Amino acid sequence: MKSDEELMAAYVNGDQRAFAELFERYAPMLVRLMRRQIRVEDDALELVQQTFLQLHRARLDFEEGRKLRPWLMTIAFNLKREYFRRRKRRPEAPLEFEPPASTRTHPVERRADIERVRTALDSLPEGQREVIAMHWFEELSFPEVAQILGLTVSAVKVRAHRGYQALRTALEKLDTVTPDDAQHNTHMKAGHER
Amino acid sequence: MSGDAVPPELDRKLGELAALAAAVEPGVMRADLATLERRTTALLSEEHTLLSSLQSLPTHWRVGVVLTLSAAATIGALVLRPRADLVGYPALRMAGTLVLMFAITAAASARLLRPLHLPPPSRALGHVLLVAGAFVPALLALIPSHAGAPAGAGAELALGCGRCLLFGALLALPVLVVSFALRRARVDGAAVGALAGVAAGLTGNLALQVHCAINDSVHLLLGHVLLLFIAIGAAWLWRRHEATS
Repeated sequence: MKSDEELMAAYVNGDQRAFAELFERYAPMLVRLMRRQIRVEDDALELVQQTFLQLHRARLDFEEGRKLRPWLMTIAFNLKREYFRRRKRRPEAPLEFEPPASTRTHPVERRADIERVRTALDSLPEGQREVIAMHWFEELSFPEVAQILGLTVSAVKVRAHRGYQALRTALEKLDTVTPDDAQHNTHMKAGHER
Repeated sequence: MSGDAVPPELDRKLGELAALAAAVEPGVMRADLATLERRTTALLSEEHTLLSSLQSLPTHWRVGVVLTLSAAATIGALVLRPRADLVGYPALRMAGTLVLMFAITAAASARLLRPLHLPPPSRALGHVLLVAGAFVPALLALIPSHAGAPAGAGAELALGCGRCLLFGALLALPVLVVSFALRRARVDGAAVGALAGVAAGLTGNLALQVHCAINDSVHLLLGHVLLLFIAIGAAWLWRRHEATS
């Protein structure tokens, strides 16, 4: 099986099948990444599309010896940042959130669990949330996260440590609140933000 | 993943979340990915225009295109319409002014055309370049120089300034348009967008530096430096229009 970098080199040389292969490998990860914070489904998919468009436009910038994954993830994160900057506020908008069709068939308590962790993640500062999203959910190494964010590895580790501590505290707080209370509080917060 | 930094209880909770996500996502992903692939393929099929080819050039080439335009405007003005006092103008001051303005043009273009696969630089960088681009020429204009051609007063002064503004604007406009066109995405805020105006306005000022023999500070501020502020304002409005459209 060809490596990501070999596929990228083939795409730069005009092999369209290489792009299809890269799409197959990375689109699921990118969709997850976008959905985790962007609750408007069409916007999340649009950003994934834009990420691949930017991969295409920047293909001649891809240098031999570089790793494709952090390179592509940096594009995705920059596009996501721009999305939030345009919206001028953070993305939490539970009232507008329509869960993906398949999740609706899951037991209520499982969806409540997902929402609880999402709410806890959303309560973190953006810098910590980004690091946790990349390190834990996408299984990127600390050096890769550092490369994507333009930080030192030590700085990323500090953010991760603080983020995980804050997440634990947030989850503990949520665990002491009933789902109905949590939903009520979230709605109040959304109303306040507007 | 259970990294060293993850407290055990949190690790368990995150593990549960990941399991839940894995359980709910596959069905959605297949349908979404098929749609997404169709849309992406359609989007890429439109990438065969001259503009998209230019945007796909390596970044150092894109920056090079802007700088080539800027240098061509300056050299063109120097060769075709050189300032009358070129021989008597202090060589060191001329060289220093040209190098400084060209360096800021290069830095502004590089920031404006920075590719998305690089981590975002400090937000302050865009502001620093904007301020440097706008005020360095203004400071240079205030440093006394030898007496050049007379700037005149009243209508004569206004006419001279107007001519310089028009001359500089004609050379700045292509740089403004090309700088915006070479961006691969409409990202970054108004301050970074305004750097297209810095590059364009400085190009006009570079050309005027080798063309106009008037050294009077009032003329330099109203006929040369004002062009920079106009170009920055135009770029800011352009970027704002993009953001709202």
